[in-house]
Amino acid sequence: MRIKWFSLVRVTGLALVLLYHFFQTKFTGGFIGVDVFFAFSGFLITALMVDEFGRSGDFKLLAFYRRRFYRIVPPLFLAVLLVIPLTFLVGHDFVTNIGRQIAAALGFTTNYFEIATGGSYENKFIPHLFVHTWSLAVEMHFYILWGLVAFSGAKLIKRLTKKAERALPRFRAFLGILAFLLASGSFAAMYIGAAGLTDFSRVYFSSVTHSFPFFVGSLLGVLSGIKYPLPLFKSIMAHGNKYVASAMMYLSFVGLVSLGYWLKFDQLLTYRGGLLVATLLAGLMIYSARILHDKTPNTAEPRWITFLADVSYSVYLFHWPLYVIFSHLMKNWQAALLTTVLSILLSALSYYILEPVIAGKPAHVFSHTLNWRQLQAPIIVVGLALVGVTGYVVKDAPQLSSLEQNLWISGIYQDVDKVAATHDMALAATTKPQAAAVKGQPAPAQRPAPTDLPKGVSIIGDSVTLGTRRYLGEHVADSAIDAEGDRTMDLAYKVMMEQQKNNLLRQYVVICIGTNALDDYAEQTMKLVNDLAPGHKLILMTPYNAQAGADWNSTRLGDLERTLPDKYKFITIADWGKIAAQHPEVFEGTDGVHFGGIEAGDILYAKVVNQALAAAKHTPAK
Amino acid sequence: MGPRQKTRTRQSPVRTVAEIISVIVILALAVISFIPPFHGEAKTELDHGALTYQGQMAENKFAGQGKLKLRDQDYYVGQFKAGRFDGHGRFISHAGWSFQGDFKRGTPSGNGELKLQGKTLYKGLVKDGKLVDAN
Repeated sequence: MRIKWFSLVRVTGLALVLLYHFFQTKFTGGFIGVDVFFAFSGFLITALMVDEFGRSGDFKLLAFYRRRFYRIVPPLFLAVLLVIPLTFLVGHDFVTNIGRQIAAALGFTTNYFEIATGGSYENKFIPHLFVHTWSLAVEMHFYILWGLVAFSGAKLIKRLTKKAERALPRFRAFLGILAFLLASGSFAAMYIGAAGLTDFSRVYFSSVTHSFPFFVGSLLGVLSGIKYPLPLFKSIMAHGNKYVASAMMYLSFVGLVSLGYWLKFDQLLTYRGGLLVATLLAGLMIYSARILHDKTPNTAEPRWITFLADVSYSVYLFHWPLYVIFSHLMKNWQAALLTTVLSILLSALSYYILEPVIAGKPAHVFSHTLNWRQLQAPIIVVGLALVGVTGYVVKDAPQLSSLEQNLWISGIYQDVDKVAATHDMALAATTKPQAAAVKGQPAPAQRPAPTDLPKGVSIIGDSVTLGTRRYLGEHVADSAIDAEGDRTMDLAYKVMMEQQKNNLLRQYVVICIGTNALDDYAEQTMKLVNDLAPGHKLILMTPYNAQAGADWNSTRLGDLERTLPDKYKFITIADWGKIAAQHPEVFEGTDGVHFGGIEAGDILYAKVVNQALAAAKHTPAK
Repeated sequence: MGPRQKTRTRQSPVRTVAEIISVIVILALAVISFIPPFHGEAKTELDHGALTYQGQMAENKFAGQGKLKLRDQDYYVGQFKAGRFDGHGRFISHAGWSFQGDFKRGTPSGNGELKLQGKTLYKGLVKDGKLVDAN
């Protein structure tokens, strides 16, 4: 029995996720779409378990697993195999360690794989192509566990219940109590586990902490059922009408979309209530749909909604890797559009033709009927070819991305330079003992007079600078570079103040920060501008990210920086954000931020710094 | 297979075998995804041979005890973490000086001793690359 308006729940979940991925800076909380899917799956699976037990007095575990297997596994394999050839369109870095990613996706362990690897800095720039399969892993773990629970519950109740009419209520109570306990336990684990975290991956991805939406859905499924509703639910259905049900559905939809705007991934509140509220709104939407189904016997569900709901699972599978690939080849809106259209086409092929045929059922396409016998040759040939391509890509994939490798090598050279700098200090201290601070006594002058500032250029940068550090050091006269990945403005401030305190900060200070701009970028930048000691000249290098929209913090930081020279005469802008945008060739095959390894990029970057330094010669010092 | 499926009561043995193989493949992939990347002793080159390394590696980077040689014959021998100098180590420069001491995330930090041609220049605390004590 198909419940008509359930399609709207599925489509809502999908739309939330797609909007989140396509417009992450605007629709920051769209990840709750996954919780809508979770709650719906929990509901449907459990309601069907109750129905099966009500009908047959039993629950068949193997048949349950088989149904889940055919629903989940073939589309997943298809999506992975079809996506891999498209990786030839983008740089080699995007398939870094792809073998393990594929193994995790197909082995339903992506959630734990991401907890282990996802936090690394480079992943912010080169996203994992199959990171989104984390939710399939949690779903699979839920099915395995919940199937076992229902199976043992059914066996136990059959054995202990003599009167047949008592069996169903008992089975319901058994599932209901366990669903409640597991939902509470899982949510409590997330609530407690989220304490003190800044990176929430650990609680977000774990099957333990993120399975409560399934169990909340299960609890609703136990309470309502589909063919065997509880008396309470029957009376709600009897008293409800289609207007109230539609209004409830609409309100829960509005609630979900609002949460999609408000919630943020790196906010504690998301894990201490946000996801739960989203789950409950999804539950309300599911209930309203169930009532609306009964109240609208003569209204058919619009076909396009049924279609979108049918393909929603596969669209979810395809959209993320396609979007990652396309967003590095074209403008964001074009990538979003192409991803949506192509995902829907591939998903329709998967859902209406390949999945039924693989499951041994006939596929009905328009007025034709296709079966395995007709399609086996092309399916096997294309399938084997795709497996071959995937094998080749896996074998050829780098273990470390060139970005990570390049940053690592630059980091090693920086380590060597730092030891050498320490040595230089010791040497200077022996020849000029007064230059070194004496233990227990304050340094003779806390802050040198402007004329005493060390000559030359101090460059403080993030991963972009680190990647080009050696070339920059060789081509900017008299420079000392301190660069590190994941460095935000507040961290750059600390580095600058430390150098200033130790009289190491040279007269020209170049700040190349902003790729990782946080919400407080303006405050942190002004702090740096204000606390720089007199006598210095400050050069601010605007950040560049090929993918950044006007509303990204990094873009806003660049905008702010460009306004500063009018007010502060000692500031000069090195407009990397503007000049880099005119040279897309420098970023070919990269993440659109780091050009490290591309010589033309090294040359351009150093040129921008040197031009700004030349301009700064004519400005007054602070 | 197709049309007969409609009336089947038991599924074909081929399908059962295919299902079992799929489950085994999935389980094997799950296990593979948990195997950590190479961990152990290795000899490797970086930066087109400008850096040569022999020692412990984990997650494709230097980790643990190892020796890193630079093209100019400078070398570092000691502890590494995530590919960078971290822990106790010794850096020997071809110019005749050396540093022995502690590193934190690539920067001399902790106790350290700097020598030039065998003569101690500095021995004491180092913080973020800077000398805290003076002898």
